[in-house]
Amino acid sequence: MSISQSLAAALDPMVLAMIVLGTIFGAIIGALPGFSSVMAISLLLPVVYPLDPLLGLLILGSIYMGAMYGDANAAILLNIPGTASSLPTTFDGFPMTRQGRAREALLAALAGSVTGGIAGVLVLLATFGALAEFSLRFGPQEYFWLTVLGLTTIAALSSGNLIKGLAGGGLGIAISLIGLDPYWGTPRFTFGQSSLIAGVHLIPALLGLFCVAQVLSSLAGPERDRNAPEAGDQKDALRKVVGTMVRRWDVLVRSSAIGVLIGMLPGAGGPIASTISYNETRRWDRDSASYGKGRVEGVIASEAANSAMVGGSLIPMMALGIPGNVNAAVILGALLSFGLRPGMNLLSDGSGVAMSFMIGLLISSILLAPLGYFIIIRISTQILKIPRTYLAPTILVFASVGAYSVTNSMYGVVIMAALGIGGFLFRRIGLEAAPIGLGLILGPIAEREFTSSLLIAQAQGSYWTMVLRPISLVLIFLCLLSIAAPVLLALRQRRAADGGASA
Amino acid sequence: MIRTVSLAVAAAVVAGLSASPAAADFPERQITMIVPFGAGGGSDRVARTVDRFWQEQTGESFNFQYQPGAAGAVGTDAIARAQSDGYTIGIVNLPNMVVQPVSGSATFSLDGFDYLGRVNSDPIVLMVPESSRYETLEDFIAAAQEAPGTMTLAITGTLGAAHLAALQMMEGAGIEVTLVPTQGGANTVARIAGGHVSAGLIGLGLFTNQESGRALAVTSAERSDFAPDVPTFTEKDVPIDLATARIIVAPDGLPDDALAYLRSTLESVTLSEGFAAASAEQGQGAIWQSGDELEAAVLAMEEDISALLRKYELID
Repeated sequence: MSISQSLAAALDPMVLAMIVLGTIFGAIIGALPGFSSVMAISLLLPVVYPLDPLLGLLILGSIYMGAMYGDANAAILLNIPGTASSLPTTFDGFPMTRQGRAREALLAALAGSVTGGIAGVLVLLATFGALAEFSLRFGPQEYFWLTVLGLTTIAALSSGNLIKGLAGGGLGIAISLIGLDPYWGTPRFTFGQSSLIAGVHLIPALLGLFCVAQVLSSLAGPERDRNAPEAGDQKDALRKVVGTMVRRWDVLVRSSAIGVLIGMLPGAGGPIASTISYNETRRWDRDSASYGKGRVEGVIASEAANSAMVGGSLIPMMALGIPGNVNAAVILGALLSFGLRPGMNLLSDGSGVAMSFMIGLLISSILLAPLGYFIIIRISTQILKIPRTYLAPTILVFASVGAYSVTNSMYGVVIMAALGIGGFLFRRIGLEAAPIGLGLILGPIAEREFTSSLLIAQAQGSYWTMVLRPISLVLIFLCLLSIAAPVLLALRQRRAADGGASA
Repeated sequence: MIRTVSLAVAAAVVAGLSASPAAADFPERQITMIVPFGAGGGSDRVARTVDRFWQEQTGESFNFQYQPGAAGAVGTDAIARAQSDGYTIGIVNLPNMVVQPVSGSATFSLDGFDYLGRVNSDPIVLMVPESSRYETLEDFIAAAQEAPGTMTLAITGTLGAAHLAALQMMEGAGIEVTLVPTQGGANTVARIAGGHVSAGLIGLGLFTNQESGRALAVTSAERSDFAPDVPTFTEKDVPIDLATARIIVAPDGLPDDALAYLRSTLESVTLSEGFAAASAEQGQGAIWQSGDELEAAVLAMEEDISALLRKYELID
C-alpha cells in the first residue's frame, strides 16, 4: 500500500470524525484532575476491538494526544496539574493567571502542545527504526542520571532559598519511600500501620499537594485573594503568543526534541520530559530569574515536551514491541489484538495500517489547534468567572472523586487530605509544593535505577561503571551545569552590580 | 451495517456516555481489575485478553489498575485488602503469589483470597541480546563458571517465577550470577536488548512478541509449541520444570452470587475459542483450571516452595 493510499485511509470522513471526538474527549479527561489518559483509553479498549483496526488505534491515539494537551488547562487556571507531566506547566502558567494573563498562557500551552505533538509524530514517522535502537542504549545508569537531572530543577525552582527547596525535594522523596520497598519487598516507614504498606499513590498525593493545599491557601488568604483573578480581555493575547513563538523558535525546537528523546525511553515518561525541558529553557534564558513568575516560555517548554512525548513513546513500541509508557502499552495491546506485530517491518507489512495510524496522529495533533482554540479554551476560561467561594468546593469534589478512583477506596482520599493539609502548612513555612511534588514523582525512579546500577557495578567489580559511560557523562555534565548555573548567575549579577556601583 | 452500528456505539462512548446492558443483581457497576505489575508486561497482556472476551460475553469491561512493585506483592496485597463485594478482582501469578507469603516478603496470606480460576500457563526463557557471544546454554554456563558472580541476569521482580528459575538454574548448572531485579517484563526486555545485562529471564509470551534477542533455553518440561526451536533446560541437563500461571483471584468472602457469576463467566471466557486463539497469538497456552482445583493446587505449592526456599537458605 502506498503512502497516498494510507493518507486517503486516514482522511476518510468517519476516521476524521473519530479523531476529532477522540481528541476532544482526551482533552477533557486530561483537564479533569485525577483522571488520566490511561484510564480513558483503557476504558475504551474493549469498545474499539470490534472496530476496524485503523479506527480503533486512532481513537486511542487521539485520546492520548488530546489528554497531553488538556492537562495544561487545569494547571494554568487552577494550579492543579491534571497529570504529573503538566507539573512544570503550573510553575509559570498559574502566576500568569494571577497577573490576568490566563488567555495568553492557555494559548501558549495550546501552541506548545500542537508544535510538540506534530514534531513527535514527524520524528516517529521519519526515523522510528534508528531511534528505537538508540533508546535501548539507555541503561539503568542513564535513567538514574536523567532523573537526577530532573531533580536539579529543584535548585532552579527555589531561587532565593535553596535550603528550603532542597528540604522540600527531600521531603517529597521521603514520602515516596513509604510502603513496600520495590526491590526486596520490605515494608518501610509504615509505623506498623498496615494501610501504609500500599504506599502513597502519586495522583492522590499530587491532588493533595496542589489542589487541596491551593484551595486552603486561597480560603485562608486575605479577602481580595478569595476572588478569582480577572480573566482579562487580553485582546492581543493571540498576537503575543504568535510573536513569542516566532521569536523563541529555539524553545519550541529544544523542548520538542527533549520530549521525543525522553518519551522514547521505556519507563522515563512525561514528568521527566516536561521537567527537564522546563529546566533547560530556563537555564539558557538570559533572564532566567524571571521564570516561575509568569514567563510564557516556561509554559510552552513544558507543554511542547509532554506532547512531543506522545510520538516519542510510540517509537520503541512500534519498532521493538517495548512500550515507552503506560499509554503506549495499552495501544500496543490493541495493536497486537488487531494482529499487527510491532517490528521494523510494521511499515512495510502491506496493510498500511501503521502508516495510516501515524498520519492520523499527525492529523490529531494539527486539529488540536482549532479544537483547542474554539472549544477547550473557551470552556475552560469560563472557570475563572466562577467566584472562588463556589469554585473551591467544586474542585474539592472533583479531586476527591479522582483520588478515590485511583485506589477504589477512601485510602486515596485520605492520602489526598493528609498531603493537602500538610502541603498547606508547609507552604506557610516556605516549603512550596513544586519541589515536594518533584521529589515524589522522581524519587522512586531514581531509587530503582540507582539500585540496578549498583548491582551491576558490584558484579563488574567497579563503581566507575555508574559514571564512565558516554551518555551518562553527558547527563552528569548537564546536572553539574544545572546546579552551577544559578550560582554563576548570582555571581555575575553581583559583579555587574559592583561594576555599576564603582562606575 | 455491523460496522456502522459498532461505530455508533464507539461514538457514543467517546462522547462520554457509557451504556451498560441490564443484567442480574451482579454486577451493577464496572469491575476493577488490579494488575500488580507494570502495563505492557506479560500479566497485563493476559488480563487485557480476558477483558476482551469478557466484554464479548457480558458487554462489561474492566477498569484496569496498575499497582506494580515488589514482584507483585504490592498489588496482590491490594487485592486482598479490597472490599469483598466482587467489584475488585485481580490477576496474580503463580508461583509469585505462593512464594511471597512463604518467604515473609508479603503481608497477605493465601487464605485471604477467593480463587476464580487459572487462565493460562507461560514458561520462562533465558534471553540474551542479539550481540551476545553466547549462542547456546552451554556457552552461557561455561562463561559463568569461568568468572563466578560477574555476569548479570535481569529478572522481573524478586522471589518471582524468574527468580525461582534463576535459583534452579544456578543450582542445576553449578554457576553463580548476579541477579538484577527490574520493575516489569517490558523493562526487563529493554535491559536485555540494550545489552545492559548479560542475559535475563522473561516469559516466553513476552519474548515471542518482540523483535530482539535470542532464547537459549526454556523452563518447561517439554519444548513449547510456540518456540519449537528453543531447547528445554532439562534436555541440557539442568533440570527445571517451572511456568508462570496467571490466575484470577478476589478478596476472600465474596457474596455467593458474585462468586458464582465471576467463576462461571471466567470459565466460559477461558474456554472460548477466541480466547485460546488470542492466547496462542501471544505465545501462551490457555489452560483452564477451576477455582476449587486451583485452590488445592496453590496450597500444595505452598509446601513444595517453602521446602525449596529453605534448601536455598532464603527463608528460615
